[in-house]
Amino acid sequence: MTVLTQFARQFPLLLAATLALALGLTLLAACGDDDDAPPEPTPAPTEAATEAPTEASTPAPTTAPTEAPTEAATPEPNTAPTEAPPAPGYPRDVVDLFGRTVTIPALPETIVAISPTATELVYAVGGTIVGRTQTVNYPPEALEATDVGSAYQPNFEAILGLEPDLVVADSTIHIQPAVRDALEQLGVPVIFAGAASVDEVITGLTLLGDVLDSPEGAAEAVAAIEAARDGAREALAGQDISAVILIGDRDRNVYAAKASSFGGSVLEALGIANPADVQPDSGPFPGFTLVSPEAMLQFDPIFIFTVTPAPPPAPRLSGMLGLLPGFSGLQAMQNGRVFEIEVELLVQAPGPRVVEAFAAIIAAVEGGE
Amino acid sequence: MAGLTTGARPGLSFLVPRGRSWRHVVLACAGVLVLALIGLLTMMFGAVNLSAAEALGGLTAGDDSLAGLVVGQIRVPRFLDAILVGAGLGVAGALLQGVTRNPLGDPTIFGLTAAAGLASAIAISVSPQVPQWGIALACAAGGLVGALVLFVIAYRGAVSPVRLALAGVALSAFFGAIIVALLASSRTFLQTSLGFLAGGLYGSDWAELRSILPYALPGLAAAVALAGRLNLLALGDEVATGLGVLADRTRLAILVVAGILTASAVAVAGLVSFVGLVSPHVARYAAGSDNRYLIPASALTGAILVTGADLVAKLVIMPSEIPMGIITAAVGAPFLLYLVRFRV
Repeated sequence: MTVLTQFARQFPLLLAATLALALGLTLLAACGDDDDAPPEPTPAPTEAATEAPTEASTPAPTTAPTEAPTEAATPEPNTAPTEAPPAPGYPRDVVDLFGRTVTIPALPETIVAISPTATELVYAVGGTIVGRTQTVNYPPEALEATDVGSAYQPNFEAILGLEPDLVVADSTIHIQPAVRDALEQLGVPVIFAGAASVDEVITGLTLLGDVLDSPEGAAEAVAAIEAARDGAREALAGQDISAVILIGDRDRNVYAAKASSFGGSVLEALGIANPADVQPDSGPFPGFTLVSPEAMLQFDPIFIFTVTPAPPPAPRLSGMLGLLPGFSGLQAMQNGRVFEIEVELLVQAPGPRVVEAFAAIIAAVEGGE
Repeated sequence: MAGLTTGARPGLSFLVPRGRSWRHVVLACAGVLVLALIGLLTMMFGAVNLSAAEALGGLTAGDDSLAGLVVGQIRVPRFLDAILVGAGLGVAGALLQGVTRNPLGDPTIFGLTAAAGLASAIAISVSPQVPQWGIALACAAGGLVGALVLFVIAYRGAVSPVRLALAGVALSAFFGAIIVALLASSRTFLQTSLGFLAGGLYGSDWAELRSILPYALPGLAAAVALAGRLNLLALGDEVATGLGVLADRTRLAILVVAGILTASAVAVAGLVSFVGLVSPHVARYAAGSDNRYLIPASALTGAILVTGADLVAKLVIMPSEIPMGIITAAVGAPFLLYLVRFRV
């Protein structure tokens, strides 16, 4: 009692000392953080610019002819799966969608993809994965991979348990520093690829083609997207078309995709006017804006595309628009130009399947004429 | 320490502080053992299951082995975070219950959790890229401001415990409403917000631990140092003043310490509720109501509650996890009902 009360009498001093200590430790913690993560924003561009081309161009041709034949000649049959083809060009540095320079030590063979987009990008360039997130449903063979939790909260232990040599994270989902830090501390190369726009799909495909040593696969997937886009643009050329992409929530609030969302970028890529793009962002979906019936009457687009997050037994938004006040007066409603688009294609798993989204939009436009 | 001076009891009884019984010592040891057991289970089970030997080996193995990575990079920092969160909230609850002489004293009920959470929500909505130490700093500032606002509002000539409690409830509702408004309108993802609102330790790592140490450790030390004064306050303001304790200054100091401790918990775990309410009551059964023992006991109880809840939260719906705050609420809410029915 006495000792502690004596101590407590010194309280004002104690408080001052505590605050000083706290301040000091905070500065330490701050410095510590800086030390831990040095190569983040500044060195990345220079390193990437100077090193990447030289490494990619010089060692690849020189080491490949000299080393590959000697090693491959004898030990190939027995040690085939692990070491056999020391794929030329590794380790190689790549720059991911966050602008981070990541060193890929060897051709990745055990990949965990922690978002639907990441999964589809890997498969699109010819890779396979061993770990996936819960909601992945394309391509079908990806379902055989082990479930490592939701894309928003992947289970780090489950990821490590698969002993991957590459983790493909999502630059649109894993943006919070806490999750990014935790991923970077797993001791496994992590690259961030995502699909905030059609252009990012193309960037992501090229990146993964580089990482997985499959530039042809990536070029093929990119060419397919560009061909689908250019074909669609051609089909629409000369027509003055406007469209709005709508998504609904349970409270019957309706949100429209802006150009900063993936759906909005699809409209933009096809040269379709998106009158909702003038509104500021609002509501829970990034890149979407809450639209009131008055705003919709003002936009009065020629086409309305709807996406419904809830799975099929739930009514589709396209069938419910007529119940919303004012919507029945829209020209798209009166002309029967309201079309449902699969939610995966535009919201839940934006990625290489954007060609299907292009096709759905073109089919709707041509069928609706 | 005080027991040493009596020297009256033979044998090992110098281990038993004066005015305590063997029961207290045994319970304290049991508490530490339970915490150690939870620690062992935490190191063993998860998405990767390890044997006890592998888990303990993982403590010293480097980052090269799977066990070393899982234990060293994921489980240990998260367990230590859980201990600090539980101890901080438990002690904050004990301080608040002592200072308001109200069995419903709790950082959540008194608005300190919401004040720290509001600061954190503001920091995140200003810049989603704010580093962890920045969030901890914002939370500490929020907790401090919350404590001061609580004190100023409740102060009218002298601070009355009843006014403190009422002001706390009002502040809690007010700050809580702003948090929800901020999260609803910001671009933060729904899932992240849910984890923050319900409270959980998803993704806690060494950086998070480092970021709250500057607040949690001095806070816990200050709480222990203030325990004696808190005992005197319980005798009533006149007696306390007669014994040389400045009642209001002490109350302010205690509120500030409770605010800092709450803030350090909120910075890593979000809005965890009921830990601060339940822990001191459980601790009181074991340690009695002398704050010099009650405060360390509350820290231990809170740590057991949070580490245990986090273990359950991690394992229930693997590979996903439910927010740990849901488990603490599931334990805490029935306890509150019991308290209301039989004790208050």
